[in-house]
Amino acid sequence: MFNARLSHAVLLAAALAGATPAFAIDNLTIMAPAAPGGGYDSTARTMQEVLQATGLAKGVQVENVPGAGGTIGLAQFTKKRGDGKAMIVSGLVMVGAILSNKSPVTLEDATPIARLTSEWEALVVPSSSDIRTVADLAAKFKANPKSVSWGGGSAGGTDHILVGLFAKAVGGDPTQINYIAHSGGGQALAAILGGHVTVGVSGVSEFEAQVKAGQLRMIAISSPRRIPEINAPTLVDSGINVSLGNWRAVFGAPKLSNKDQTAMLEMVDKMVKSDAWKKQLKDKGWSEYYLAGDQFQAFLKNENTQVSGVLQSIGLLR
Amino acid sequence: MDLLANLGHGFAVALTPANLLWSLLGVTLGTVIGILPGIGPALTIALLLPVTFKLDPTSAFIIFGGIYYGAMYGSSTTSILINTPGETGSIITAIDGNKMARQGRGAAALATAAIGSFVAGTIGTLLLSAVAPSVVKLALVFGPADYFALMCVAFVTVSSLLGSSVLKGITALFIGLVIGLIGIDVQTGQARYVFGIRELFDGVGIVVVAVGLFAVGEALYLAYRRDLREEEIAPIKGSLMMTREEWRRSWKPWLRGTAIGFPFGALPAGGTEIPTFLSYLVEKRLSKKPEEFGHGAIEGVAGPEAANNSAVAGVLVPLLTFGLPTSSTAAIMLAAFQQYGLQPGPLLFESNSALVWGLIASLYIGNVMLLVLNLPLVGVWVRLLAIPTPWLYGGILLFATLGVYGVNGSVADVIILWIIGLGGFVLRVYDYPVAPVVVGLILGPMAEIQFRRAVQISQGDLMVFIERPISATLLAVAIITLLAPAIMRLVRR
Amino acid sequence: MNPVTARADRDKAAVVIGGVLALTGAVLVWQAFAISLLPSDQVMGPRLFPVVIGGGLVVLGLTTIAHGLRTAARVADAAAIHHWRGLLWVAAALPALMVMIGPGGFVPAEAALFALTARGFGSRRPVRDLGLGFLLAALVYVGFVYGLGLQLPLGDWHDYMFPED
Repeated sequence: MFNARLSHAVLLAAALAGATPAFAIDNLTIMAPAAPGGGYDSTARTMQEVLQATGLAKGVQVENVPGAGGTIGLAQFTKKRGDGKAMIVSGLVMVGAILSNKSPVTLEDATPIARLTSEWEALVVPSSSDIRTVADLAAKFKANPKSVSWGGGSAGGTDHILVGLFAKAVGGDPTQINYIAHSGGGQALAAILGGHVTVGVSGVSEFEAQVKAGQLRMIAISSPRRIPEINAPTLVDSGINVSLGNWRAVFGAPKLSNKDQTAMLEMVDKMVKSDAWKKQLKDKGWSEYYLAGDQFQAFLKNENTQVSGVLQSIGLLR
Repeated sequence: MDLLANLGHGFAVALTPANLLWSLLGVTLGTVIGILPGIGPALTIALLLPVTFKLDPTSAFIIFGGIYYGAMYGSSTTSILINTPGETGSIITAIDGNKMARQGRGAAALATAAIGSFVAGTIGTLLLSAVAPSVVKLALVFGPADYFALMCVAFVTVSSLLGSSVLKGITALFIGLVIGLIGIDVQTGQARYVFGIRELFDGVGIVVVAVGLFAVGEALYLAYRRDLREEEIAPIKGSLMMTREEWRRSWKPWLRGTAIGFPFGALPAGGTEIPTFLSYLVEKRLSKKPEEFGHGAIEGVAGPEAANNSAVAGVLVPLLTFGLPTSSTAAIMLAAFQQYGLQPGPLLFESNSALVWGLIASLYIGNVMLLVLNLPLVGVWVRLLAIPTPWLYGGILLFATLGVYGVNGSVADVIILWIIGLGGFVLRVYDYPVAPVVVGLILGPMAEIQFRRAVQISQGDLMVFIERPISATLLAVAIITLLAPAIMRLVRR
Repeated sequence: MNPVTARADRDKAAVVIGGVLALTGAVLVWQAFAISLLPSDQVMGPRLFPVVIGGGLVVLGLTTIAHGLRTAARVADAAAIHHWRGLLWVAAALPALMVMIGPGGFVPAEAALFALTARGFGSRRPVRDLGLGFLLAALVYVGFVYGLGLQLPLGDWHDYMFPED
């Protein structure tokens, strides 16, 4: 409350000084609702670098507020009502965390600006496994769901959601999923390489080196269309109507003025079209997944319904 | 031999003036952040990534390697001098190291830590360059059941930390286990004991607990016990360096610590903490004077400090050969590799041999630099103890809160720190040891998750713990270690 | 240390501590049943370890009570000087930091923490302590913000004074 009033005062002072150009937002603060090093953080820092290099914004700061799947950062962010110099990075994981942590603030409390990137998910098995295709996996799962152990990231995260969608799509029982949650990519990877779990689920880039070296076999990726650099069929191609991206997006503060919202939309639009941004995506192995404004809002609504449905069917949510 | 030729190439890369400078920068920075509680190598490397990305990859990784190794050297300093571990791997060091400092042997404790780190770092790096891939293949065999058995072995180490009363020691362990329950259950995503407080969802951090119990609890206790404060720190006795006796007592623990630490680093769920617990237990059991442990036994510093450094070298094995990050620092380094479009893994040694061998060679060089940097600093550090106590403890609390607050910017963490500090004070007043609390907090959650994973994968069959050879062996080791002192007593009678 | 024969034949502190432990353990076990389970969870779900650990704590608490009832109070350390005021000063240092860091910013808050701690350890020159704490905190601030690029709060007052920053 105190903070909100303060930022009002700040905004007022800024307006009086008459120093808000159409774009080139000065002193922009991007909140990464996670500790340095993770996906949200690197998205925020990549934005920082590109925005400064292209001159679209000046004096960009990244603020890390980790905790509770990003909902602590979000709660703090939504207090910055009307602040035209504040943005927050969010994504699919936060949609799930808001639901499963019963967060009092949701993404509806922030102003959607644009979806930026996506990392696609991969299903892998050890190269010695007798599972060769997604069809084999689906058959094994339907015959005895508990006998298939899935190794992936935290419970209710992107990996778990994908497994839930998969189970539903093949007509299996989602409550019988034997999902083994791991914290941090390394542990899940080790469990798969060591053959301790049947299938591995995680971002494509997590498995790339091991797939190239022939230790793991990628049986499917979760993108809607086939990706030229990746030698694996999509789930859709394999007859399972599931596509899921670990997308990341940026939001503005709640109750943003039209002028500020337009300035942010313009800034982000110019950013994603810059060469510097495209180069960063390539270096980091992220797919371009840009969607702005109202369309993004509609996507968000749809995603929220889908995720909450899956989490309910797995039993994480009731 | 291939290895020597490769290393030769590596040294040619690492010994360029520019890369030597980067290495010096890395080890210096690493030492500094190692000293600061709460600020670790993972965070530092993450924050430096955007800057170092402008360098060529070899130089960047030489800096990262220096930071990683340096942090382990630096973290022992505050453990020994002011009973505040800089990193979790140095918690055990505080027990005997700080006692030594109070007896006027702080310089010797710092020296044995630095030399032990050097020995372990060098041998560890040698192992890294020689045996790498085969170690990882072995490590991957470890499944959840085996890890659970390993945790059982680690739990036995608590017996060496109990202090004067077994009941009090085990109670302290259970307090740690209880704290470890707080937060969201990894396996099911359900909240446990958070009482609706959002800041508790991710659990109570090990760093917050360690800093709270050691630094804050200690400061409160010494403010309360004016008598202890006045007689507290003895002036430096004898020579600044280690005596002949101290050398004699240190070298075996260095080697044993190295041997324990390296495989743990290479294990996907090993870490730097558990090998320090094991090393401490081993040294206490092997010592002719186990009663000295907890009262300033130099073996209790030499062993664990070697163990944590060799674990760090071990961590690089799965990272470089399998692209498998086994610690948070390794995970950040993996992200850095990917930013350069490099894929650590089986192919990295072939496709980027200059980078890999340059990095390995720079680790040897960094180790020498760290020794040269740290040994003369010993004299400077011990003089810190001559700072008047009001300022010394003011400074300790300043850095403790910086570490806890600065990283997350969360006032909630400071509140938790305060509560844990008050708890640490109460434990001290009633003579409960604090180290087992931290041990419980580290091991409890790991033991639980591995146990449940094992049972979930086996679909409820508890026999997995006995049927798997590794797990069965480790459980037997745990039971024998636990019962050994009692059996020995019976035999002697 | 001079062993002083204790009068009481029971250790009251131990009885109280044991009571607190046993009670905490009981609450843990009771609350464990409030943890929701997944449909796929059987015995080995998220309740197992809380029940085991809470139960263990109850046993330890009861043992501590029994022990306290049987043995004499711990022999007081004759040389001990208890300094409650010192304890209170240091105990106030962290709350001072929590209150000040928002409005006042990192540097003044840490300076206050430094000065309060120094006071608890017997320093009688608060102005000098504050100055020194300020200097130390300012150095740390510069190192962090410019060296590592981590943000530490400047304080709300700063936003009022320099809204453009």
